Amino acid sequence: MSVRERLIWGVSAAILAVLFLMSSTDLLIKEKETQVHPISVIIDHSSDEYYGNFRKGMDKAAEEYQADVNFITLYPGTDAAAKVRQQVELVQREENDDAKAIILAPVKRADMLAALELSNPGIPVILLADPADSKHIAGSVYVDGFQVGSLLGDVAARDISDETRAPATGPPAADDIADSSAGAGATGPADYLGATAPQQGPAPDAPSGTGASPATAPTIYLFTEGLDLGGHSHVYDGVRSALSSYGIATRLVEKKDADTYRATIEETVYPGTAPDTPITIIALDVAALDETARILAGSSVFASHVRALYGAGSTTSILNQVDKGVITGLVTWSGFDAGYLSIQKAVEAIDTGRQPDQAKLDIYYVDKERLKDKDLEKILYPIE
Amino acid sequence: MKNTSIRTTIFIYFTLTALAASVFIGISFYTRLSGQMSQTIREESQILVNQTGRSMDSYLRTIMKLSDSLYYGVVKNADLSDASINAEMTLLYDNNKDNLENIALFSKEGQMLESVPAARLKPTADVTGEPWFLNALSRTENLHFSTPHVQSIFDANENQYKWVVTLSRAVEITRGPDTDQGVLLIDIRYNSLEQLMDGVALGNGGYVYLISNDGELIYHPKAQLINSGRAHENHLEAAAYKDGNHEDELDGVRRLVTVKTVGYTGWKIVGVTPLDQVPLNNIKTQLLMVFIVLFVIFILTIINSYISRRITDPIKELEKYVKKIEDGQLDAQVYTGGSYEISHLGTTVGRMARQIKRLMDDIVVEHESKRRNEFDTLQSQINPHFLYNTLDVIVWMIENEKQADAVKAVTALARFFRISLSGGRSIIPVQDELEHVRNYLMIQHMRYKNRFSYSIEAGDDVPGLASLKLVLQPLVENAIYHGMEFMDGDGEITVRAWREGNDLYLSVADNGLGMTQEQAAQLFAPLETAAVREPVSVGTGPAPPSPGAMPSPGATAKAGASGSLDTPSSLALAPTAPGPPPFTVTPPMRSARRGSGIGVRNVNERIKLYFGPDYGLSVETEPDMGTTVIAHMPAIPYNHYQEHMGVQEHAAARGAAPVAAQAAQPRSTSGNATEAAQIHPLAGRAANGGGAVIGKEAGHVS
Repeated sequence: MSVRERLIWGVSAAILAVLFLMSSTDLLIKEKETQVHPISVIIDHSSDEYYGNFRKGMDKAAEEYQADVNFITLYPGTDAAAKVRQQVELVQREENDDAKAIILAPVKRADMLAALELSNPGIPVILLADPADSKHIAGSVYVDGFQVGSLLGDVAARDISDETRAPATGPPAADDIADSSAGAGATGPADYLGATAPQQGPAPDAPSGTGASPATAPTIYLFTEGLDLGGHSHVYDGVRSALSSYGIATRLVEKKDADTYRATIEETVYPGTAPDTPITIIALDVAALDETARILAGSSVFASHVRALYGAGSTTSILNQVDKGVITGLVTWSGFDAGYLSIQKAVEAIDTGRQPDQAKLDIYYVDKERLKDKDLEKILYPIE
Repeated sequence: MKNTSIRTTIFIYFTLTALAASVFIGISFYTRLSGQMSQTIREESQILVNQTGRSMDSYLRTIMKLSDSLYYGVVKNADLSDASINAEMTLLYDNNKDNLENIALFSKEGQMLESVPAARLKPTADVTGEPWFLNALSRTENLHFSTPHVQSIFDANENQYKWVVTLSRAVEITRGPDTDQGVLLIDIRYNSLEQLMDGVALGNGGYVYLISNDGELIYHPKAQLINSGRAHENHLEAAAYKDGNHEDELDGVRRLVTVKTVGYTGWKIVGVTPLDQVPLNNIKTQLLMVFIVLFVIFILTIINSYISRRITDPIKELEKYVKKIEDGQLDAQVYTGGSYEISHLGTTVGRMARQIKRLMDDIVVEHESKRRNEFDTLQSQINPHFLYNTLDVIVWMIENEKQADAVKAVTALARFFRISLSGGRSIIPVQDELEHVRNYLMIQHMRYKNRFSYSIEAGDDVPGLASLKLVLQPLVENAIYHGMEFMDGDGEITVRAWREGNDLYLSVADNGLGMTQEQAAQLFAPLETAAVREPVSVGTGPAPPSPGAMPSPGATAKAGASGSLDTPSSLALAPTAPGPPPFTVTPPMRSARRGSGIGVRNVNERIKLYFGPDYGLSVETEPDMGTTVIAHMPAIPYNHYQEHMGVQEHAAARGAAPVAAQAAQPRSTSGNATEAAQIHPLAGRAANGGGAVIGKEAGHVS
């Protein structure tokens, strides 16, 4: 047998061996193994009551992507700075506990990014906030806060206009609102609300806590847990941007203590501090909306002095308040999608490395009428 | 393909055949297996979907029976103005509470008359606008199943919501003497419905979902993702499918869709099996099929290689031996292995080689015999002529009363012939050779008295050596006839024999006219060349350039003019008168014209024939300076030659090579035997054949 023949036989045998290994063993082509991805979710609250639908989406994704999710809340009763520190510590702790990725809803986005730069985590972090240009952030699942605020501002302004001015157009039709979810990223709120008010710069805030408002242009109260928390400032900017175009002043009410909202509402009741007309409140975040709705639901007096309550975000309880009429309308998004996408992106980040990826959630305007919409019902009430 | 070997041809055709067969079988096997697998999956999918359909049908019928029980067993027989039906409803609810969320009875105005478990309507709730309520009253004879929805009419925990499928029907309500229509509501827990579907999986990645008759999703494992647009499903298309298997494509994935309609509701259970998840379609299975096909081809190729090798190796082996035969090794043992045909061919080739060898040997022997016969003939020709002339001289002596001279002549003649015969041997002692030439010179001297003188000199170690017979006589003969031609009593012929190492030298010198170098070179020219040209003197004297150029006086001159200078019979030296009569002239024949044939050329050829190409004659001559012809032979003791006479004679029968081998051995190593064989074919044969023994003896001799 010549060398050439030996070579040919050898190569043929080698090819067969490789084919055998490829087809009959896991040495070269591995069967898809069930790899569990340990992922930690660190939220920005001490309770998960605002993350109900998020958890459902998270669980669904965890089941689909074989993720072992550790859902972590913060210690209650601490201030924002302490919460930020807590989150940093939790990120480090979870990394040490062999978490492969972190999903983080930052209490204060900027502070958290700075802290992450310092702590330099070795695992991908998915932000439940606006995207950040950081090597530590592998992705973001977020809502356009400005767009949420704009929509809320437009709806509220339109409502006021309907009552205080000659109505130029009717209230936003259900179809218009439905369209807003699809086109929210492309068109401004004024487009689907049918408003024709000229664009103006943001109106100056009225002094906080004074309750003073011009008789012709009622002031809209903006309740928030804190502008520096989460993405509240974007919502605030959006609201002010929309209202300013209608020449409506706003009054920002940041929560200082447990009675801040109640006290502010009470001011509208007591003589001397009460404004001439019922007020409109826009809660810039879900916690503020929930608390305000509870306050209003608990007192018929307060309700009579509050023309409308709008807010951003939803829970089952909040939706019930919408159904009851306590809340006039709200702008929300799919918490289920947020949870599902965050896990999905975390798993992708684990499997493929840190490929910065962002997912912007669609927003929906919900009022009592639209609660019965079948499509919206499936989004607001995820099937478990 | 012209130069393609048999093995390659066999290998290629076998392998191509095997390849085609393997690929065909592989594809057929794969197609068949894949088809069967797909068919099995279709059947199993259909079976599973049918089972799920039966379960769903059974489940819904249970709920419908419950509805019937509630209506016919509880509501219809009760007077709601008189008694509560709560206990009966509760009993039925408790029996089915795993599947039920609420049971409620409403008046046609939307007032809740009874509910289990106890609940109240939300203040804002208006059931008269609910689809299930409207459907029940619009078609009172039917049971109406809603699609899944969140039941929000009851005042419950504000942090909870319940997905339900509502079964509603119109009922007859009795209140005292009045009967009226109402609506019975049964809320089926969505998760109980889900449990029926959730555990059903179709193969790897397959799933089952449930749609209403208009395609709305009732259950889907990814319902929430589909609702939010992050997943897709062909549920609207599936609504148009009839029961059975269908194929569709979603997001580039081909799928097997199995549809089964659930009896009363018109809902459809849809089973989905991705076709690329069929086990035979995955990459590893395909690789396994490729491996099997290639493995079969590999094995067949090995077998092909073995078979082709089995066939062609004997042919190659045979070819090697044929090549040897072609190279002249006719004694090579021909390969006769392999198959019958090859074995038979080998045997035949071997037989042919032997036949060729035999024929060649015969030709050689015949050739040698011919040459030998020619020599013998030439040798024998001298005898009658010489005898005739000598007897003529003896007669002349007797007639002139010179009895003493006659006695001497007769005696010399007798000795001369005795040695000439030498028992038929070609090799004789140098002593005999010298004696032979002495007798010849004596006779010739008696015949040509006063024309020349002669002397014979030999060393003491020379007489016992072996010499080729009749080497000197032709040289002396030519010296007499040519060298002494113009001498008048002062011609001298000197015969010498001496030994130098392993060489024996015999020389004949005369003081005749000598020759030019060109003439000397012509002495050893091939016979044919010499014959084409005019006969050239092979004697020790100069050859006349052309007949008649050297006229001799009298008859001798005439005879000399005839051109047959080296023919003793034709060259008659005129005897000195009174003297013996001259030699008679023999009839001119070709060999005779060249002389006796035992001329210088023939002597030279004989020596080379017997002793090899290193031996032979050499001539030293110059015009007017005489000529010396030296015979060079190996110095072999004659007694040693006699001891091996039998071997030599046997070898001599095949040619003179043994002697040549003997001659070659002393001059060099045994390798020269081969050299000699290469130079001289006869010597070569001796060295390769019987020369083995001779070579050994020759070595011993040296």
